Amino acid sequence: MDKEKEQLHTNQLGPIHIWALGVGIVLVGEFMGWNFAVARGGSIGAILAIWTMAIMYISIVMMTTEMASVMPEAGGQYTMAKYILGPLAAFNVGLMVVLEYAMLEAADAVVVGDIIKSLHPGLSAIPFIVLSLLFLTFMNYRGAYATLTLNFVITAVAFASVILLLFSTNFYDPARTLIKLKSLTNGLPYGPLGVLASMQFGIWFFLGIEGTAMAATECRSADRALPVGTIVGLLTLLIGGTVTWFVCSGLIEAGKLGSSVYPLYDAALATGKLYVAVALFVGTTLSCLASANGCINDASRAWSALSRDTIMPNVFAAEHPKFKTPYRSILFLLPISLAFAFTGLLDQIVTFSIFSALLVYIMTAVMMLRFRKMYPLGTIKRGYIAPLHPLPAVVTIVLACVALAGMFLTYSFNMLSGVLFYALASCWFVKRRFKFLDQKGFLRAGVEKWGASKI
Amino acid sequence: MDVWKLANYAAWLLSAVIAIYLLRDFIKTERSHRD
Repeated sequence: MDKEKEQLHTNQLGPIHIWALGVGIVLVGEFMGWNFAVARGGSIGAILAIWTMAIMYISIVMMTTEMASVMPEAGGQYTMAKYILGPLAAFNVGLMVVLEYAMLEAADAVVVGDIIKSLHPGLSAIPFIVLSLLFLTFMNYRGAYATLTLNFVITAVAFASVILLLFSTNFYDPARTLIKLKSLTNGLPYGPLGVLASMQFGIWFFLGIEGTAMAATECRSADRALPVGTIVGLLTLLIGGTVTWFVCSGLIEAGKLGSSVYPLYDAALATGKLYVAVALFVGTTLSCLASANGCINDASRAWSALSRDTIMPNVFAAEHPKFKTPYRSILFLLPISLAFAFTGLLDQIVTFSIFSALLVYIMTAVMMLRFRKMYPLGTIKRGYIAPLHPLPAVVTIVLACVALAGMFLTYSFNMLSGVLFYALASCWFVKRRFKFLDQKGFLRAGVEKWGASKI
Repeated sequence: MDVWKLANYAAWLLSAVIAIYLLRDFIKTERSHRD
């Protein structure tokens, strides 16, 4: 009976929580950052980047949902890499996922601090950065159900503020509309190279949606909740992204939009309606909090999974006896995110986060190709089957490489530093950690569940 | 006192309260693990 109660306590997440986890992490990208794509590629370049990256994310979500629906434990892409590619790849994917989310969390907190500071010169950003990170850590510490229910509410409010902005422009009535796309947009000023350079900012609309796979083992029914929550979440983001581009491009002149810190808030100000401006201020703050909240959830699950498998020291694997959360991992990652946030280097933090994410996407596509070879259709029970295989994997590899090439145009030094960091971390793992790895226990759960692979 | 400064102090105070809660619960949990 106690075991049943415990199971009920941990397996409570449904499709709305998965939707909230996915959209909550990503929605912040609509409120800030994506508009740098307009500066690099012009108005048309930006929308091309958004839709091209949407194709990549649809492919990634299909692949991760199929693989996550058969994995025997939490950990998302890390767990997939562990069973499909082996320990060294698993270590790298795990580290990339943790850093992707820890840095995104720090960036969100920096933006929360900056927005609050913008209210009055007497306010400081630092206490609000610290408070938001501590409060969200507290929520995560006390359990996934409460924190993701909170995420559902704040994500829904933030999304509603974007829809409110859309309707406040009277876009549906040509006589009264405030949208002036023809006169305010600038087309494709830098041609194809501009589109290439804007790709990395198109990612902002979707970065982190693949993290829904982390919650697989905490779902009531992962076979249903994961695909439904993730795919509805992706559609929400695609619609939200297009609406955001439409409203901002139609209300703000392209040159100004390309350098705006809070494009949706600026668009709200351009409507001249106070209630819309207040709604977007609240929406921007809440979207940052929702994103940081989801990031803490995902980074701590990934770190805990690394530790549970002895890839990292196993002290971080312990669960809280009452709240059933990876409490040591949650607390361990807090000072790391705080340290990144204190640097205040928003673009550098986010670039490293996107770079890590793109490497994970390429690895995910490689894993999918290998997974279908190891376990062809019909050999094991899948909760979801990705259609058109191997097209999603090929599309992901090609588009991720295109985005990396675009990123290299502006952030070559950062990218080379990132490669060096992961190479050094891999050397450390092979030399110092590999001997501690429990190689028998490492793959036991998968082998017990699926039997031996075909290759 | 300036209301904005007060807001900064309130944020620090709340942060300290949460940090103390987390630290207390963490120590309590670690002790129970050892027992």
